[in-house]
Amino acid sequence: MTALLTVEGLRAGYEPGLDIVTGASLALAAGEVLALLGPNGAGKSTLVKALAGLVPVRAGRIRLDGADLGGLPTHARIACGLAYVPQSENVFATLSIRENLELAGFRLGRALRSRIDAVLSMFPDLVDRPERPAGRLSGGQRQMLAIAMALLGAPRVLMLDEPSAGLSPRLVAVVLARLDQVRAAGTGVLLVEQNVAAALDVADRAMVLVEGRERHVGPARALRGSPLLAELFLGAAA
Amino acid sequence: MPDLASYLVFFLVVALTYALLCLGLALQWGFTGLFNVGVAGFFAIGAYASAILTGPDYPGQFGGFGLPIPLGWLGGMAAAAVAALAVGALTLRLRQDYLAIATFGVAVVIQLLALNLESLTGGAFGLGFIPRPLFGRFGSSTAFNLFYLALMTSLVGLVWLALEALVRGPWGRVLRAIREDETAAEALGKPVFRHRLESFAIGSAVMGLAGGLYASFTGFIAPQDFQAILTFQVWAMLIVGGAGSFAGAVLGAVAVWALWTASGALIDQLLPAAFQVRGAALQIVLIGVVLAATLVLRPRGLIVERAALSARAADGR
Amino acid sequence: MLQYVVDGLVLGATIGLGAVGLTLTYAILRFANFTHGELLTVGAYLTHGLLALITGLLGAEAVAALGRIGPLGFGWPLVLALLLAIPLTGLVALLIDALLFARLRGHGAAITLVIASFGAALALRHLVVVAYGPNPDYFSRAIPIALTVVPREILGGARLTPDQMAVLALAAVAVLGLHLLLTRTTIGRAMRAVAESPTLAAVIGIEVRKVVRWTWLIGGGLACLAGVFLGLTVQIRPQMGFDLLLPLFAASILGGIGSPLGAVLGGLLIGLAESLAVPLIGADYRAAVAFAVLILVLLLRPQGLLGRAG
Repeated sequence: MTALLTVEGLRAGYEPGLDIVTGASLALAAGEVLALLGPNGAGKSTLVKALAGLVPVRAGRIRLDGADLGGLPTHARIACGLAYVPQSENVFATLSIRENLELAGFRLGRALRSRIDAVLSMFPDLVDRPERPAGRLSGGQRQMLAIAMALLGAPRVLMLDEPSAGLSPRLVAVVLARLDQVRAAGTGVLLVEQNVAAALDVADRAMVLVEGRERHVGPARALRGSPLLAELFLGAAA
Repeated sequence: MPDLASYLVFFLVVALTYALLCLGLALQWGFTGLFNVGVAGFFAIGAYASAILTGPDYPGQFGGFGLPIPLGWLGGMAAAAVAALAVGALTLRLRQDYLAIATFGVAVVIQLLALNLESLTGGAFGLGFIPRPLFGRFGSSTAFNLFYLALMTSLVGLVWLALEALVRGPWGRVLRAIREDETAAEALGKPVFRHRLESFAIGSAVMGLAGGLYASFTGFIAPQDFQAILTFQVWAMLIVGGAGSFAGAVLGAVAVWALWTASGALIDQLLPAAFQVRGAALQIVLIGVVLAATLVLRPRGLIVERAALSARAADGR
Repeated sequence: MLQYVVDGLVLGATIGLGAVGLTLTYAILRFANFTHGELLTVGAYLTHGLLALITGLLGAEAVAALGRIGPLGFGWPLVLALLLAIPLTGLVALLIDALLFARLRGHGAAITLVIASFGAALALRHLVVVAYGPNPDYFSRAIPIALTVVPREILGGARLTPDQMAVLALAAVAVLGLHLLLTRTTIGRAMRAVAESPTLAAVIGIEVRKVVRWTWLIGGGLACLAGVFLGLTVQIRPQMGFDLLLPLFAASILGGIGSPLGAVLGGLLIGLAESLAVPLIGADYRAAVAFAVLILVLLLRPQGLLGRAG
């Protein structure tokens, strides 16, 4: 398995001297879903934000398909094939579904139409009324729009920050089931989740992050029902 | 008394008036994070209120109360505080720069009223013959100025001590908690809005006091005393002095006023009469550059940076 | 009565165009820029300076021979000067950003930017006094002749000078152009995206710094146009932009921060309100009208007419 995205010894944090990610490493292969798990405050969201260039990185290397992403601004990382769906405020609330998609695919030029159609075919819920303002969508539809926007540019790596937050259990399954199609297209998925059971259902592998670095990496299947999870999530974070 | 000494006395009285304005702004900005662009307006409210309360009966105008001078000062403080409460109640719940825009509007409207509401403010000619405390007892204006300097020094000291006690007490602790983390303070049940409003009103009352003291020092006030440039000067003083401490406010006021006076005198000496207006404008440009450079290079202030930091350290932060 | 409406529209067009840059930079850079009024002043004075330069280069006789455009009070040299001054004013805005605001954005609270902009505004205004002196000036010495656009029998009628009509027409063209730019071009859409959420814009691959540069250029250019409008319909003074700052803020907030068309609409409403208030409260207090509108908006609908709720 050759890694598509590799991260080595990443240290990152909002303020100097207060690193939240304290030396994390990971490798993600094409067509693989890697679940990023861990207790509250473990640095999962900060890690993906740092990968997206939204949190200052103090040390470490980030490589996507051989290209060094370190030091690049966010928009340049996106251009390299990285996509990131934030946990909240991940759609432009005042713009319609269509405008959101057009904006997200602004660099596609003539290919925009066909790409929008291709992506929307994955999310039939969004198709029927494309003029609705994104701010009026339900939580699940909003999440799907955000994922659709991220997929427009046919990214090689998709990073999702807690896509299940605020959704009903049924919707969580619906949203996460879409990841199978993403995976089938050869895109690597980095999935940050609090909902451990749902994440382990779709993930190939899982990584448990504690205090900003990896504590355990292994097949998702093996982690299900493992005592390690119980230990981690019952507050024994040290 | 030699000329220079008597000029120094006059200079210090004006500098201390600015120091009072700076103290009020330090409470609002330095300790509460409230951005007041209407300093000149609150200063004007205090000055006009005090002048009207203590002043003689101007023909065809509202006033003629002839109240004792200290009551006029208190009235000036109260008027400025009431105006601050009204503006604050409207804007303190909104984004913080809406307060900046609203206070800017207050200053503009006060300037308009001062210019046009002749029945109250005397219009462009302003209000004259404002009683000066114990003026008759002193043989010369120099002696009066010396007395007034003593009065100003003690009042500035008093206000400084009172504000210091206020921010170090329980009220100030809540204020600091709000500055550190508003959401957390709110979650702990601290009345964030009320504390902000109180701080804004108290700071404005201090500015009103400065206005009252200014009116009864000069005995004459007019709209041009209360232009936006005054707000700018006070901000420059506070930023240069260091917004995080009252000592910075007072020292900044004296230092920037000295710089202002000296550069003004220099321009007076160097430039021919035809270029005086441009020279005065150049002075403002220079102070603007000093303010901007301070913000960029030394955001904690030039003078009292260390003191402000160690004061916070002493509070156990 | 109708005359006040027409005068209000002319003033409102000026305020509206001036407020577009203010509302965009407010939304994109998240601070109330008190320097924006000075961009109108700088634009007007740059145009005035360039006009003098063009007149000097061509020779006064040649310029006089060119004459004026139809019934207008100005000729082609002014148009040329304006076309040059628009990008130059945008560059001035960029320069202020690079020297001051960009250095403050990285560290410290956003409100520090407001103080800096307040200081820069006074410095800039007095720099104009240093360069040009304090006295008012005009683009043209021609005495404007007002034409009757609505006869007196209808609501008292309305009269407009040709220059005022030109201002209204040019403002309409500028607003249409702005609308097309924002809805049809990539950079325009990117500006709307950044205005809504800079982080999300970056996440979908927009280069935020480039958008910020374009915002200053466009906002500055429109401010220049507004400043020249003010110079054509009133006069050029170092105070002109500063005196308009409160109406500019009121228009931006009334229209909804971040909404350029809202700013134009807000500007028209403020202009109308100021003009219609004159018969009620007198011309002395017309500047207070913008403040009253501002307070009303903050009380009743702080997100503005076209702004997003909450």
